[in-house]
Amino acid sequence: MNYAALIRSAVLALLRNKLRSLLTVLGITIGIAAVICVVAIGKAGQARVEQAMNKLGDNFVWIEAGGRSINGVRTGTHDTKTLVVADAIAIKNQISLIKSVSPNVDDPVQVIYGNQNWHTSYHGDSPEYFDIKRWYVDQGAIFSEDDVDRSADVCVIGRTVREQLFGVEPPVGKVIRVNNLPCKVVATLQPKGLSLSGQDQDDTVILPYTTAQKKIKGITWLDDILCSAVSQDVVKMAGQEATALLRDRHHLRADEENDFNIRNPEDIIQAQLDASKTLTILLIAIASVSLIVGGIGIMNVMLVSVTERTREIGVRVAVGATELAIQLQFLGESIVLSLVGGAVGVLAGIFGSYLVGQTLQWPIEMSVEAVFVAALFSVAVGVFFGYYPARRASRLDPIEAVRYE
Amino acid sequence: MTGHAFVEVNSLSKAYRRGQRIVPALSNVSLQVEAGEFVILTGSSGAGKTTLLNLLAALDWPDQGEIIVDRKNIAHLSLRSAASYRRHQVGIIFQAYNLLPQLTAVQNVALPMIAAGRLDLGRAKELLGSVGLGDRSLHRATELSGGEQQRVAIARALANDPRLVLADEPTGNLDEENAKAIMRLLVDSCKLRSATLILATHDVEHLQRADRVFELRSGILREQYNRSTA
Repeated sequence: MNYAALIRSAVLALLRNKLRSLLTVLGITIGIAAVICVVAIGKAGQARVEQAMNKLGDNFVWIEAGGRSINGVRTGTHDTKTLVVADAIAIKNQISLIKSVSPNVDDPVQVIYGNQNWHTSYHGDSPEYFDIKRWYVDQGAIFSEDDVDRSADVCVIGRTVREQLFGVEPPVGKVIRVNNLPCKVVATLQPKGLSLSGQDQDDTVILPYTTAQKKIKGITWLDDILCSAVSQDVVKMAGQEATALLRDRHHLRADEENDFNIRNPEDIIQAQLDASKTLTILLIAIASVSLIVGGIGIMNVMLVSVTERTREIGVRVAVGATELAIQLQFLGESIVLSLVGGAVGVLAGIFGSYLVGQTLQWPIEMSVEAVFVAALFSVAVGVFFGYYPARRASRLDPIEAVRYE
Repeated sequence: MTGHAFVEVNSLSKAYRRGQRIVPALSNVSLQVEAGEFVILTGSSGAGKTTLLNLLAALDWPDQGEIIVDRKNIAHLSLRSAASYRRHQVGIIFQAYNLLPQLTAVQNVALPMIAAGRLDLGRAKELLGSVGLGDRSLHRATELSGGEQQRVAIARALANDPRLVLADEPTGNLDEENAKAIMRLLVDSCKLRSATLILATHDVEHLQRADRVFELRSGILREQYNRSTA
């Protein structure tokens, strides 16, 4: 079988009805482009959620002061005084599933530098906080354990605070006022951008928790204890162990509710990721329907073509063409249609994905697998939907066929 | 049955179903044709001429009897074997020419070569030259007159050097002058290649060139003329 001749003959046959062929190709093009776009956009959405999860923290376990509800009354988180630094130390020392711990106190605050001021929030933490929350230093060096012990008046500022207070001026070494407490800026942080809930994560000032407790908030307790589990798999278990330890330390009876709560922001993001994946699969399924419709278009056109060319089929059989040769002739035409549609669809899909990516400001990443699978799928559509008309052509009665008007 | 004839048809019967009715097309037909012979089948429309030619071309299957061509029974070939038989042994000429309109004359002649997997455009052009259309090889079928189209069809039938040429009313659509010319061309071309020619016609004009003439009447075959005994 001369495949080059087969393809040439298929192309020539299709060119005899240019508009019809073009419209048929369009059906496949739309299907393939839709699948590629959906996969690319879906992947971008997932990448965005994964990025957010990554920025959230390193196997993050978040213990917040205050029960969700005590005796049916929500207490809020900032009025509970039972979570203390000793709890954080106990968690660090006694729970092997937890590798890093940072006490945390936070509140909104006004920060001032020169004649600039900015309303932000501060976080009083230990140096481990930067690892737990995956903060990376841009300039300078973060405060030390020694600074924590001394309740030093030092702070690290996020990109937004830096821009609002300093503009283009280098901030490291400068003194800002955090709620009237003069604090030396020892480092600036690399930007994280917005969280999935739309909060500006760079709008923050971080200082030693002892400084925040004693000199800004005037409290002895903590708002939160932030921890890192040793791995993603044990985040839940680490939370359960921390719960047991804290209940014991806080002398809570079996019938008493927790005076703290373990929050699982990763669970929420994971749920978003799962939802995003499900949505992507759903959209691929919908896009695939358009591909099937395109395939049905091919079948329709090929059936019309077989009817139109009945006499030609009869003549070819009469001069000795085999059933297989006739089948391949028509199958070749349907495969050429779907391949051309697939190729144009891949290009349109790539272009469309980038267009959507540009519009939504999402990091579109083309999936080579998706392009490959789409191309393969277009051939499969050609074979699948071209087979029946081709078989029908090969099964025509040549005697009737040569007489067909 | 002699065992020496190139084509032997023995006790061949074929009937068609028309709704509830069974219509006999051929009844117990027997025929021997020697290699290189020119045989004419006559008879009125519906006598069974085309049915017999279709069976000889292995385009159809008989209900009974055998068809031996070159010592091989072709009566019940598989589709694949029938296609192979047509590619290598048979050339068919239709009344309606049946050229493919989208192809040029030379491409039409080359069709059987493509089917046989041995395309030779040089030879296809040569064949066109031999039927007097050397200068029309690149013309599409639709650009040719009826006589020219039938010449192309003759060249196409001879493309794979068949030993048996079957022609079904090849001059039926032509005027008298063209019909004579086509007939002369067809018979001469077959004689030149020592091909056996079996031709169905009801035109008595052509009978004198045949070696033998058979008449089919209501599916029954009778010899009417034999040059060797005339």
